[in-house]
Amino acid sequence: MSRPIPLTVVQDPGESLYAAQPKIYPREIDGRFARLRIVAVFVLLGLFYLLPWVRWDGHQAVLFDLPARKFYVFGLTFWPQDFFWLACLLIIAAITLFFFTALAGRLWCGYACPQTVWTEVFLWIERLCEGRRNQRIKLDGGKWTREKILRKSAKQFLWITLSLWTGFTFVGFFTPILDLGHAAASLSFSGWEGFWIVFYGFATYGNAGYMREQVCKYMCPYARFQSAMFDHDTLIISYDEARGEPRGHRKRGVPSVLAISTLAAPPSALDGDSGSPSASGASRSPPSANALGDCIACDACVQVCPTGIDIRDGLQIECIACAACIDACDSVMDKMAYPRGLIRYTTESLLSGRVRRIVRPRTAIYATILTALIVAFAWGVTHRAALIVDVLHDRNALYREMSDGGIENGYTLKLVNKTDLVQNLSIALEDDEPALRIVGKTRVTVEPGQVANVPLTLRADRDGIKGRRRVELLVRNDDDSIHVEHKSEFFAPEEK
Amino acid sequence: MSDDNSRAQERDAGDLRAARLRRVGAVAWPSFFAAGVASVVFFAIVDPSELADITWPHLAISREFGYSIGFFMFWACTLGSSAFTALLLSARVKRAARERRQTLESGQ
Repeated sequence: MSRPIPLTVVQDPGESLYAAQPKIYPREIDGRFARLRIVAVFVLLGLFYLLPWVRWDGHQAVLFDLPARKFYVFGLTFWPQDFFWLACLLIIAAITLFFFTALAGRLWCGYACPQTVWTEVFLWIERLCEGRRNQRIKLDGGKWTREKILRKSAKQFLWITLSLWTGFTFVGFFTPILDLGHAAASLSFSGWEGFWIVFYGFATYGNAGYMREQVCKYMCPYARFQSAMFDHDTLIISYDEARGEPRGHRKRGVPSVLAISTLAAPPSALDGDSGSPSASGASRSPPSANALGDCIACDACVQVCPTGIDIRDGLQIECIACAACIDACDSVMDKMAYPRGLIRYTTESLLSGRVRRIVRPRTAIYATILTALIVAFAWGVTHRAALIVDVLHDRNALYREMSDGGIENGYTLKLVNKTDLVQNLSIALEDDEPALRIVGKTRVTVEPGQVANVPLTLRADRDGIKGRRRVELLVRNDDDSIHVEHKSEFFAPEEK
Repeated sequence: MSDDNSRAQERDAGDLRAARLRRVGAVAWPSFFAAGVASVVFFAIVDPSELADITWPHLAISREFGYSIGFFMFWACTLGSSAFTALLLSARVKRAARERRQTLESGQ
């Protein structure tokens, strides 16, 4: 006889694609990696906020001057024509990210991503105004008292101020920041500057103040494809399950499982990487008398996690490798007088008792591509053409017939002086074409960083040229340090 | 019991709001990023003031205005495409859920 199996829909996929998401209150933690992140925040945000104010040779050191279509990066000036190098730089940045991901996992996420560093600063402000984790939870749960209003508005005031300053700095990379500062002082921004300051400020405010870990979990594409760069030798943050389990509360003074196991296990059980003893795999000896592993189930690692996961459940996509759980666990291990490293930076290879390889095909290939690109970029940027020559043939008429039977073609020469000096340039026909000559002036002065549009007329004598003829123009300066050839075409009527 | 029920409903509503917000984020952010890249590539080659000359020469369009229009035009395209994809996918998921529910109900 068959009996119906009771069924219930656990999750209706039409209603919710995601798990329930309570607000996360990460607990503050001090430790090696937290301090490393503070250093990263100061260096990166310091660069961001101060760089636009640095001057170089009478101009802003780093300025992507969009209104003037010129990019200054310290001593170098880039033009729209140099876009190739910008693309090259972006590819270098991407390969660098791949390389470091393969080597050390989500270093980017934990220490360098703008989302991480700004969230960190917004958390500092939140802590300053609303107190530590428990105070914040209490404050949010409590009624709207005078104190709550004061604390919340202080936080909002600081957040908004920082956001606007961030937006201002961001726009300062694209329009000269001194002008922008004057405009700010008199509140006379041009419409678009004001718009982008508010836009970028609002994005910072929303992402670092409210979205936080949700950006990493649900919006960040890198989080989804970084696993493609991972292998068994990539540095990950992992809980040593063999050493920690079974977890449980205990009295102080119970020795670590390592204290017992190191007596039995050979010294080769030491992790080469962190120097902390490992009880992974086969080296683990029978557990201590109370049958507990080293995890005391204090949940400190869960409370500090900014994405609200439990690292003891294994490697998860939400883990941004911020190492807050390592810091938390290390401090607990210190209190228990246990060796550190129950949660640590390690690799899958090390966890399964194999040796970690740093040089392997994946890292070698990324490193080779990266080196080649950087060398090519450095060479190319320092050997860029000092002068760009473009020859545009007159669009309206292929040729003009003159009264004496001669044929004229009109051109516009576009000369871009990419040097920082005034250039006196002469224009000539490259191959000595007796039938063809330049009418009008052949000498041009182009100011540094300027574009000169020079009308140019080529003239062929009667019956000198039939049909289409390739011509080569030569533009050079007096000492011939600039010497650019450019091909174009001369048109005359076909043979009658 | 009814208290439990209303609390569960409240939680479901909260989840739904959060899920919607996340869907908005998942549509807005990648499309914003793609529009940014497209704008950089496009305006590296094309000068907006020259573009203004060949389109609406009688309107005074500054370069900043040109960049901004260009960026929002790209963003409108990518946002529209991403939102449409999200709509198509969510309709499929909803239908699958409804069919599953019907099968369950008819089985009882």
